[in-house]
Amino acid sequence: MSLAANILEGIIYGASLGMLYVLVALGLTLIFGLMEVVNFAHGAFVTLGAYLGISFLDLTGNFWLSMVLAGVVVGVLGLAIERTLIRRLYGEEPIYQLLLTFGLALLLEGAVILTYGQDNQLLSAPALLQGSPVPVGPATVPQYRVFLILFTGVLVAGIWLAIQRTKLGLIVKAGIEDRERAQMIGVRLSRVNMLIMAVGAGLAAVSGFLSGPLLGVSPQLGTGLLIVSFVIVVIGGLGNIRGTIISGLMIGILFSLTSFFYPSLANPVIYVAMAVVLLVRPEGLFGGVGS
Amino acid sequence: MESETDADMMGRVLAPLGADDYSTQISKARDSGADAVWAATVGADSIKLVKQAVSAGLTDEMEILVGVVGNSVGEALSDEELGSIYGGANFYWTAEGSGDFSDEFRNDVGNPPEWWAASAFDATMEALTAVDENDGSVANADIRPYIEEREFSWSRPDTSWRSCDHRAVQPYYLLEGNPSGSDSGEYWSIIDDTGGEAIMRSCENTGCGL
Repeated sequence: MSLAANILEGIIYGASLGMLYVLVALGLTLIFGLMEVVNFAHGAFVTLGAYLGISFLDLTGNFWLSMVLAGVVVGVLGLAIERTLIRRLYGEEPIYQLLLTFGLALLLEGAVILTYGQDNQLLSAPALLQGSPVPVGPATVPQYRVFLILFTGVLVAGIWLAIQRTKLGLIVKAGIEDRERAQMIGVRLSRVNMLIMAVGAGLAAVSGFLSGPLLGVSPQLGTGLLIVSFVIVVIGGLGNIRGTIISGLMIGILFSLTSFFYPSLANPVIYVAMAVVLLVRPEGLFGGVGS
Repeated sequence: MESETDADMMGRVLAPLGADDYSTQISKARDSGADAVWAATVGADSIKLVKQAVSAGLTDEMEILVGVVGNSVGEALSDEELGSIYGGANFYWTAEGSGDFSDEFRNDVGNPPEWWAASAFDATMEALTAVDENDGSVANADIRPYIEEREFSWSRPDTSWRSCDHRAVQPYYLLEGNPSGSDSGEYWSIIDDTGGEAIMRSCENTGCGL
């Protein structure tokens, strides 16, 4: 295979991984942007989504329906957590939110281990996407990777359009821009908080389920994705939706290409990139909240 | 390795521990022209590698052997993935000579033991036996002469301690994925066994001399 084909493959493979990161990071950045909560329980939503999806798959035998059900159930759980726990801490010191969400993460991960055990679980791509890899220019790419890019791309584009073009999106943007001013002009942010928490948790769950055929499903699945997602949110700018999408793709591709040329640097390069951005542009490449 | 196996090493590629993406390693393996890949991965990394290698069609072009596997890897793979690969382990519960330990373990825990359970059991039993035979002394100096060159078979046969570095000399089983064995917990079939000091780095080679 030529170098150009290898690089193209690295970019496509990196993009498929990056889009999974984007789904997780989008929820994180929306929740932070709107509620100013750094949600450490977000990784647990990812894990929970993967495990619940497997249970739904056992029940229904339908991959797509299971993905939707996992997203909806975890979304409702996120909503309930926001209503019963997180809302009590709005305006409080960040340490309380950190302790609460970190505790929730441990609790949810523990519940997964108690229910499903520590062992890795089987989750395969749907039969429709298990065929031979497809040629993309000089590269060949597994069908599931192509699906991941297309499906998550449509999902992310839909969220982007909803935020840019709808009244609700306008309210979300207003809340992210200036929470107090939005409330002063009569915007009821408490309902929007609920919705964003549900959407963020649901996206995390979908990401967890879709990760399964690629990464396997273990109780630590969400933790791994969460750490990289935090890096993406920091690089893209806390609360910046466009920045999160672009930096998610960048990190996925950076990891994939570094892994090809300098494998031992593939993991550190992500954190080096974050450190450089923090030093040069502390608000993130695309600016922070409100940018 | 090449001189001992009559094999030509076509290349070597590293992957970061805990990596999510193995696409570049898969590409390099494909480009190498090798007949087989030895994957020195464990646990979740092995699962991710095999899933991605099978979906990329690599197993249609070459054999893949994952150096250390067990049921925890097997049960996370689909029938197609499991049926496409080979594995290796220093313990597998169906091996000859491991029946008593495996039966006891299954009775107590409910599922077959993994290699780490067997290793932990061996180490514990050896330490307790050494202390017992040394009148209850737990001093290193007292235990040391006892275990050097000692042979034992708590969880598997043909096991001993090597005196120059106190490493366990163990069997090594070559395994083949067994898609039909998921119901019985036999995710792997033993197709050959080797092991012993012949497959270990010598103490001269590692520089260890206790």
